[in-house]
Amino acid sequence: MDRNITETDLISYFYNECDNQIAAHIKSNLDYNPQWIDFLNDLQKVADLMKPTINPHATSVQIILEESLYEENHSI
Amino acid sequence: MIADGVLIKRYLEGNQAAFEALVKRHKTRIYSSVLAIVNDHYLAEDIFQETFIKAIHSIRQGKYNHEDKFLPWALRIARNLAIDLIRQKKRLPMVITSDGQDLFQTLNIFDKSQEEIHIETDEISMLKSWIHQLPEEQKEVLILRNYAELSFKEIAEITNTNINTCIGRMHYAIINLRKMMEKSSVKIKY
Repeated sequence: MDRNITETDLISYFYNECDNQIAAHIKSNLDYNPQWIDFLNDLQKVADLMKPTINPHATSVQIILEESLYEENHSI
Repeated sequence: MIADGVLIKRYLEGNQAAFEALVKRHKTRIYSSVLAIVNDHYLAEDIFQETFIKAIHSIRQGKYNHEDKFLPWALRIARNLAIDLIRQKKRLPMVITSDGQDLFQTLNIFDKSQEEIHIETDEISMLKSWIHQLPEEQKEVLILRNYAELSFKEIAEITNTNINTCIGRMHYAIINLRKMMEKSSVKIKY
């Protein structure tokens, strides 16, 4: 690696969107860089608390499905 | 798993179950993202419905040409609707109650499910409040990357920016959330 790893590299690494060479470098040097681990832990913490878990009300889904039927019946 | 593009093709051929599968697949990510953006259950339900209704019309008019990228496409519709509604809401005069609260916010008669109540821990509530203190563009990237699980490339396309800008915004969001966490008495556990 001919440059330092930045926090934006760590963000890309965390979300598996990193260049392979940079990802390999981060992985092999993680143990020697506690500040990287801290930053990755913060990303993990935020990701864990922002999981998509809330569903729309069943009525909303029903309205959508009825609309999809209505369109079908009237466009043929 | 059947690809989104295949489900849409089957729906156009008259297979209603294919459309139901598409809704079932994406409803949680779309609704969670919209709710995080507007922070209001009523608006989120309206935007969620309107998003799919617009999607249905476009699909049936043969305007859908995004192959298996239904989610980013639907989220672009949802995002535009959310921006429009937030702008409209900002133009409306705010009705303040005697204790200084926005009447619209205090009329919270939306029934949360038991499951939702259990999920609403202090940590999640705190994080939500911190996220809503972030600048809009930082909040948006955080929501679309985590709740919607879009890639930075997909977020860049939706927000008409580029990947580096999106990652930069995410970086600032994390820096700001760190500062808020440090100031707060509520500590987020690992």
